[in-house]
Amino acid sequence: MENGAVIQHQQPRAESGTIPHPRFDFGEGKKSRREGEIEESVVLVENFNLWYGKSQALKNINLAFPKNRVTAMIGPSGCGKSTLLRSINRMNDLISSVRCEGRIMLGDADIYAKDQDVIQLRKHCGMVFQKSNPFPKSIFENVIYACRINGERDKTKLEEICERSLKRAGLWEEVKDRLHENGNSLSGGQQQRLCIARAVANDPDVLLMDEPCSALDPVSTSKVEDLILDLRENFTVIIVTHNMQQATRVSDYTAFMLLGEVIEFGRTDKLFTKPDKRQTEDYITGRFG
Amino acid sequence: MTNFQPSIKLSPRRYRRKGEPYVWLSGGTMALGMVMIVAIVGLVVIRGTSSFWPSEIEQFTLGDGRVLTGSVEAERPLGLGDLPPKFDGTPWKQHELPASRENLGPAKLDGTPWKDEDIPSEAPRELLIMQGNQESGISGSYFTWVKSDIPDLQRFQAGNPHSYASAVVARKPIAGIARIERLEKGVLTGFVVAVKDGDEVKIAKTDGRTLDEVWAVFGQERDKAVAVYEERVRLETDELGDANAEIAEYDRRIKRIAYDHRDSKMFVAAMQWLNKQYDLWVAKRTPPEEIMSAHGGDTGNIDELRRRQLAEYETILQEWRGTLSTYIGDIGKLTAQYPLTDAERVYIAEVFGIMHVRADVFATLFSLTDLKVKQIRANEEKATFTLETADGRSADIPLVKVVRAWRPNEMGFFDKLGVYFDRAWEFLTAKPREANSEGGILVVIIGTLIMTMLMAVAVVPFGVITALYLREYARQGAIVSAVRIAVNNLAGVPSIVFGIFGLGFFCVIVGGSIDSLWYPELLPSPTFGGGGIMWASLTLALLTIPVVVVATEEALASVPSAQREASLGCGASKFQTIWKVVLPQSMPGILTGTILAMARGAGEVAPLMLVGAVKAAEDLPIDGTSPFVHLERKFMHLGFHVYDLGFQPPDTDKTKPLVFSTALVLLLLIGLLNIFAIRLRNRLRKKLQTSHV
Ligand SMILES: Nc1ncnc2c1ncn2[C@@H]1O[C@H](COP(=O)(O)OP(=O)(O)OP(=O)(O)O)[C@@H](O)[C@H]1O
Ligand SMILES: [Mg+2]
Repeated sequence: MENGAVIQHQQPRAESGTIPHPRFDFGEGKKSRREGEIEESVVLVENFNLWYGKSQALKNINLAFPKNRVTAMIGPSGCGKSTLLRSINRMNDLISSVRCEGRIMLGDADIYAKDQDVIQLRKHCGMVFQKSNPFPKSIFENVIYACRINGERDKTKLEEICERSLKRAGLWEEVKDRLHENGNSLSGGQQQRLCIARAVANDPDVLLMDEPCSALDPVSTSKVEDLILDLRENFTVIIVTHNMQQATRVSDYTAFMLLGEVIEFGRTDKLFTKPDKRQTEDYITGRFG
Repeated sequence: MTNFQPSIKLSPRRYRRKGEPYVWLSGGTMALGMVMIVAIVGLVVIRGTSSFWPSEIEQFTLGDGRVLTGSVEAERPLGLGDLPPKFDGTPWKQHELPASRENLGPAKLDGTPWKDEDIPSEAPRELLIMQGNQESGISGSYFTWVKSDIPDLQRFQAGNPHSYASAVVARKPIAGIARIERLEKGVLTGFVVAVKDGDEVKIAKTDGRTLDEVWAVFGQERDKAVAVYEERVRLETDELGDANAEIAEYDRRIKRIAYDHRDSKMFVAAMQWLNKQYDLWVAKRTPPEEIMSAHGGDTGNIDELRRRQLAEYETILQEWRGTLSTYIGDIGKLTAQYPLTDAERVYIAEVFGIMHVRADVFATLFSLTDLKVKQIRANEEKATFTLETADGRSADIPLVKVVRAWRPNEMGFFDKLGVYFDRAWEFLTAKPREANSEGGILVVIIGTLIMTMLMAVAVVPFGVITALYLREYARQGAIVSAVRIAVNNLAGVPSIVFGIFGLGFFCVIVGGSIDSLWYPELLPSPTFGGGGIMWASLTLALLTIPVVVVATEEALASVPSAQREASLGCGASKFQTIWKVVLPQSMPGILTGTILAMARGAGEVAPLMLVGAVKAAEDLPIDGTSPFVHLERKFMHLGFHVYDLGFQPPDTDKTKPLVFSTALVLLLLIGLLNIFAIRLRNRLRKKLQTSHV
C-alpha cells in the first residue's frame, strides 16, 4: 500500500479541546493532498472477514480511510463493496445470518466492541443509499428527522439545521419555498440530494454513500458530484461507484475490490494511471472478465 | 424457421390449452356471485323499504260470503297443484296463466257465457289481508291468507269443497275508510264516525256531519290528547326516571356501608334503628291519593296541588331534619345505646346524611311528580273516538292511543309519500313497542354502533401490538410460527365458541370478580357479573383479532426495508423507527384490518346472545345519568333483533316486513362504517404515496 501516501491511524489523545462526540476523537485533519504526506485516518479496517451464512463475502480486509478525503470503492458487481460499507455503520446487523471477524475502528472506538452503542455509531456515520429513500413526510420533516430522533424541540434551531443541511446538499434554492410539501414530490435527483441533506443534518464524521448516482441523470449526477467535493470540507466521504469517471472526478483515494478482497488501494490519480496490480488495470480499462 | 402456421381449425385440445374455457369459467363464476349478491341486497332493499307504504284498503268478498276489509300486506303465488283441472280435464300449465278466454273453455260451469269480470287479470295467488281490529266489539281476524285470481272459480269451488271458502269472489275499494296505528294491540281499520270527550260528544256522523268533518276534528283532538300524554311520558321517564336512578344510587351506597359492617352487631342494630326512624317518617306522609281525594278527586289545578303538597312536605322534611340533627348532634346517646367504634360512628353519620338526601329527593321530586302522573293517567283516556267497521259494528277507542291515522283511499301519491316517510322515520327514531313488533329501532341502532366502536377500540391496539411483536421483535422461529398459526386459526373457530368463552371468562370470572370486589352489596344480583356491552365488545374483539393481526403483519411487512434502513441510518433506535416510520406507513393496512374486523364483528349474532344482547333493553349504555357510560348494561343489537323479529314473535306476519327493514338498516350501518374507514384509509394512502421518479 505504499501507493503515494502514508496514512496513519490517529491514536487517541489524552486531552483534547475540541471533542465533537465523547467517544470519538479524531483531532485536527491536515489539508494537504501532496504525495508522501502523512494523512490521518478516521476509519480503520483490520483483518476484517464477513460471512453471509456460510459464504464469505469479505476476506481479510485491511483499509484505512483518510480524514476529510473522499475515498472511492470500485469493483465488479458482487465483490462486496456494499457489504463493506454497511459494515462500517453496522447496517449488516439487520441481517441475521451475518457473522464477522476482525476489527473496524472509528477513531479510537472499536465499532464491533460488545459495549459499542450502535445508535451512537450510526449518528457518526451517515449513510446515503443507492436508491433515494425519503420518508413520505414533508421535506422539512425529512431533513430534521435525526434531530427529532434526538429529541430536539426548539423550532428555530430545527429551521436553522434544516436550512444549513439543505444548503450543504445544494437543494436549498430549489425547495426553500416548498419545505412543507411531501418529500416524494421531488424529482429523483432532488430526492437523492434530500437524502444527503438528511444524512448531513446529523453532523456525522463519516458519510457513507452507496452508488448515490446510479439512478440519476447526468445533470443531477454532476450536481451530486459537486456536492461531494464540497462535503469533503467537513466530512470524510466513502463512496461506492461503478463509474470510473466519477471516481476520478470526486475521489482522493480509491480502493479496488475483487471477490471480497481489496486488491489495491491508493491515491486516485496514481491508481487510475499507474496501477500496481494487473487485475486493477484490467478492470479500469474495461478488459476485465 | 418457417414452421409457424396459423391454426385454422381449433381442436378441442388446443382450445383447452389456450385457456379460454377457464377464462369463461372464472368469468361465469364471478357473474354468478354478483347475481347472488345483487339479488340478496335487492331483496332486502325492496322488502325493507316497501313495508312503510300505506297501501289501499279494500273490501274482499269471499266464496263463503265472508267479508274482509283490509289492506294487502303480502302475496305469494299459488301452486298449479292447488288449482282444479281445466274445463277439458287437463291440468293448468304455467304458460296458460293468467287465463285467457281461449283456455277457459266455451262457457262457465253453470253454462252461462264468460263475462269480462269473470276472467282474472293475474296469475292465481294468495293474498295476506290485514284487518287489525283487535278490540272488543269489533274484533275479527287480524291477518288472513285468501286465495285470489282463481281461473274458472266455479269449477274451483265445486272441486275443492274445503278450500273454496277463502277464495276471493269480488274486491272493491271503500271510500272514507281509515287505517289507525295504535300504541297497543295493533292497527284498526274502519270509519271514524264520532269524537267524544268523556260523555260530551264533540262531533258525530249521526248528527248529520260528513266523514270528512269528523276526520278533521279527530285529527285536532288526537293531537291535543297526545300532547298531554307526551308530557306524562316525559315526567315519567325524565323526572321520575332521574329520581329513581338517584334513589337507587343512595340505596346502593347505604347497602355498601351496611355490607362493609355486616359483622358488627352494634352497627347492624344501629342501622335497623335508623331504618325504623325512616319508615316512621315515611308513614307520616299523607299519601298522594289522599291529598287528591281531599281535593275532590281530580278537580282543581294539578300544579296548584303540587305546590301545596310541596309546602306540606317541606314541614315534614323540616321535622326529619330536626330528628337527624338531634341524633347526629347527640351521637353519644346512640353510642351509649349501641357502643360503636369511632369509624363506625362516622359511617352511621354518613348513612344519616344519605338518608337525608334520599328523603329530600323522595319527597320533593318523586311523590309530587308521581302524583301528577297519576292525575294525568286517570284522565288521559277520557277523550275517545268511535270506530265503525265496514260491517257496521263499532267501538270507542281512547284518542291517546293513536300513533298515526290515514285514509289511503282518499290520498294522492304525495300524501302517501308523506305517510311513508313518517313511518320510516318512526322506524328509525322511536323506541320499540309491543314486544318489538311495532315502533322503531333507535336503541337497537345505537346499541350496535356503540358495541362495534367499543370492539374496534379494543381490538385495534391489541391486534396491532400483537402483530408488532410477532413481526418486528420476536425471533422468527418455530415458536413464533406456531403462535402465528394459532392466531390465524382463531379466525376459524365458530363464533358461538367465542360466546361461550366470553360468558365463562369475561362474565363469570372477570365480571364476577369485579362484582365481589366492588359491588358485593348488590350480590346476588350481578352488576358486571352478567352479560353486558363491555363483555360483548371484548368477546367480539377476541373473535376479530386474527383479522387485525394478519392485516397489520402484512402492512408491516410491506413497508420497504429501504425506509427502515433510512431511519436506522439516521441513528434512530428500533422503537423509534417503528414508531415514526413503520407504523405511520402501515396505517392504511391497519385500517383495512379494522374495516374487516368491524364488518365481521357488527354482523355477528351468535356470541352476543350469550354475553349481553337482549330482546329489550330499556336503557342505552350511554345516557344522561351519571356516570353516563354504563358498560355493564345489556343492550340491543341489530343482528339479534333480526333474529328476534324473525323467529321469536307470536305473529310472524306482523314482524316479517320489519325483519327486512332491520336487516337493511344493519347493512347500511356496516356500509357506512366501512365507507368512513375506507375514506380515512384513502386519505392516509394519498398522504403516504411514494412516487419513485
Ligand atoms: N443479504 C444477503 N444475504 C446473503 N448474501 C448476500 C446478502 N447481501 C449480499 N450478499 C452477497 O454478498 C456478496 C457481496 O454483495 P454486495 O452487495 O456487497 O456486492 P456489491 O459489491 O455491492 O455489488 P453491486 O456493485 O452489484 O452493488 C454477493 O455475493 C452477494 O451475493
Ligand atoms: Mg452494492
